[in-house]
Formats: sequence, structure tokens, C-alpha cells
Amino acid sequence: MEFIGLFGGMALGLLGWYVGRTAARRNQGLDEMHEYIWRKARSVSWYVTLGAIYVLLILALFRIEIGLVPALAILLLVHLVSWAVAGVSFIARLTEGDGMGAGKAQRLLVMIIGMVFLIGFGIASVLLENWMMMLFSMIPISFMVILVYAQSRTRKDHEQPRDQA
Amino acid sequence: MRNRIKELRLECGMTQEQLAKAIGVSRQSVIAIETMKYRPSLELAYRIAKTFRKSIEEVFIFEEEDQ
Repeated sequence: MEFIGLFGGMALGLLGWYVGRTAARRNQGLDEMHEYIWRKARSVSWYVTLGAIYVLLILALFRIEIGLVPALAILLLVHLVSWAVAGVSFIARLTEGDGMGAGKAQRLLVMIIGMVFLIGFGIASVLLENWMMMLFSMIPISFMVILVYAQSRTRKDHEQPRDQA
Repeated sequence: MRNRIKELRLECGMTQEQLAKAIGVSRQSVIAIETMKYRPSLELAYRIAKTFRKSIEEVFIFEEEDQ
């Protein structure tokens, strides 16, 4: 069963990646903005993964043992999902119409990454029968909320002079 | 950095799709460049300017605020 999950997931992921790239190439989608977006998304996902590593280390400090495989599975989930979500969010922000502002897209991103943390640590808490796991997911979520709030403040400060002009 | 891409494109009677095809990028990239959410590389800026038969300075306007 584990083999199917591990290699089946990898095969499906690679197939999806290949199909996506082929479709994008047909529409000249593999251009420099595409490279920029996914490079930036990879950078964001490493920060999120770093947060997850710290949470797992803090759990270990509190003697909450997860085990190697669940810990790696959580890190893989957090890394891949945050990469995908960040990429989609950047695409939405750069190509948005009037319907969705940058702030909205960013809040959506934080909500989705927060959900990933909650689901990941929720699964771990069920597996370990320890509700403290859920509590620890609050640390990266709080950090992200503060980060987005600070960024939205900065953006407002930058946008004001242009609006007045 | 401001740009006159939308204005020049409309003057030439081009759609975003046609411009995208001419400069070898996706329509989404043209939207992002026109709305100034994405700054193109020097190479792409050159291709855009060449499409409109203008110099880069005529298409992209550098403002002191950008510094």
C-alpha cells in the first residue's frame, strides 16, 4: 500500500507536470514570467518548509515523538502544497482583473497554507493521539498572518502616492 | 517604471493575443506587463519596442521615484 502511495503519487505528479508543461508550451506559456513566478514560489515554499521544520523540532523538544516517516511526510506535504499554492497565487496576482486585489490573493494564500499546516499536524495528532500537535501548528500560522499584515501595510504606503498622482 | 504598451498596441490595432504571439510570450504575460505588475527583462522589452518600431525609451518610461 505504501509503495502504491509513494510511487503512484510520484508518477501522477510527474504526469501532471508533463501534461501541464505541454499545454503551457502550446500557448507560449513557458516564458520568462512563468520562470519568475515558479522561482519565487519555490523560494516561498522553502520558507514555509523551514517553519514546518522548526515546529517539528519544537515538538521534539517537548518530547512529542512523531517518527521519521510521518515527519518526512508532513515536510513533503507542506513543501509541495505551499509551492503549488504560492505559484498559483502569484499567477492570480499578476494576471488578476478588477475582481481580485493583491491583498485578497495574499489572504487566500495564507488561508490555504494555514489549512495545509492544520491538516498536516491534524493527521499527526490523530496518528499520535496527542492534541498538542494541533496547537503547535498555530506557530507558523500566526507568523504568516503577521507577515501578510506587515506586507499589506507596506503595500498601502507604496500605493498612496501613485493614487494621488 | 511606466509603459505605453496598451496605448501603442491599440494604436496598431493589435489584440493582447496578437502582441503575445509577436513577442513570444503568453497573453497572461502581456496582461501583467501592461498593468505594470511584471517588469519584463531587457531582452523582452527590446522585442516589445521592436514590434511597435519604437525605441525602448519610447515604450518604457523610467521615473525618478523608481530609484
